[in-house]
Amino acid sequence: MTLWELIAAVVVIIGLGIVTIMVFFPRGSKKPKTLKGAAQQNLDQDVEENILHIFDDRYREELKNRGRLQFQQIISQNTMFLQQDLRLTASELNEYVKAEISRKLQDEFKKYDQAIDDAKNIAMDSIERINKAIEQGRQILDQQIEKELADSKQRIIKHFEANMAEIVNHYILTAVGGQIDLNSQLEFILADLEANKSAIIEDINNGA
Amino acid sequence: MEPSSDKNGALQLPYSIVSPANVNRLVRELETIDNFLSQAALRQGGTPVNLPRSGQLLTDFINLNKLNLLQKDDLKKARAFMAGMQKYAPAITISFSVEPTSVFINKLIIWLRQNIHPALLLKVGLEPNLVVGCIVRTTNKQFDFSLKKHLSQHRDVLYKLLFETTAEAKT
Repeated sequence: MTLWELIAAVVVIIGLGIVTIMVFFPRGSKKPKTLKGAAQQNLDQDVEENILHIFDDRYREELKNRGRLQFQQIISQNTMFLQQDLRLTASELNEYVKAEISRKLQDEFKKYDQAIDDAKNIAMDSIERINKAIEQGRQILDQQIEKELADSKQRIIKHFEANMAEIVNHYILTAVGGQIDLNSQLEFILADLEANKSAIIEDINNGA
Repeated sequence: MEPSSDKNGALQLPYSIVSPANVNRLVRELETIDNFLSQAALRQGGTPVNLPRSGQLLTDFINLNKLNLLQKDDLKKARAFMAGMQKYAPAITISFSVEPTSVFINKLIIWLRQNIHPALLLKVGLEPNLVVGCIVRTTNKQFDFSLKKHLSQHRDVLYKLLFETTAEAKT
């Protein structure tokens, strides 16, 4: 295809387009609209002229009163609704607060009871441990005392056994020491001398 | 009671002369008599004299041995005997819990002189802790005849008796 042919095709297409536009959007249809706009303009002009007569002071006052009544009515209704709503809310809030406080208090009481139980258990454990320790200490002390007593008793018995003769002698001396007559002992003294006679004679004969 | 006279003429101690202190006293008395007699020989006539006093012990000694101390031989013999006693007589010490009576001492010395030695002298001591019995001390030895010693020697019997008595008291 040559350039000229291409240009010719474009021109044809543009021409077709213009024809189509002209067909569907003809320029003569604007004429009634223009007439209507004039009437409207006249009407608007009348309204502007008479509007000041319609909305005069009485009308405005009436409108204000109506508005005021309407506003008061709306305010009253809203106030009532608000009051009801407020009462309901207050009641619900009260219930909620009561329930919440009760729940909190219950929780706190439970915690408190738990804490008291724990403290009681700890105290009981502590007392039990102390009692056990005291019991053990007492048993140890008892054992020590028993051992000490047994040792002491054993020592006293040993001491008594070892010094029995001296103890009995001391007892006799304290009890009847001053009442024993030498004359009554003479027989026993002579018997002892007789028994050791040879040893005495020997020592006298061999004495320095 | 006195010892029988010696057949050989040897002097004897009367039982009243018990201790070395008695012998010492007799020695002094005999010496006093000897001095008196020596002075009496030198005495001029008409001069007053003080006769020496003789104690009971000397009297017993003279009577037992039938001595006449005015006789020089007897006096000399007595002094020699007492000097010998003072120097060589064996002595023992016996301790008692209380002071013994003279009767007790007399009985004891009789036994000692008859059984141990005829010239034995006795020294008496005091041991208040003895209670019963005595302690005899010779030259080198000590014989404990006290109750304490007897109890120690018969410890088993004492122990048995004591614990039997304790057991009876408990039941």
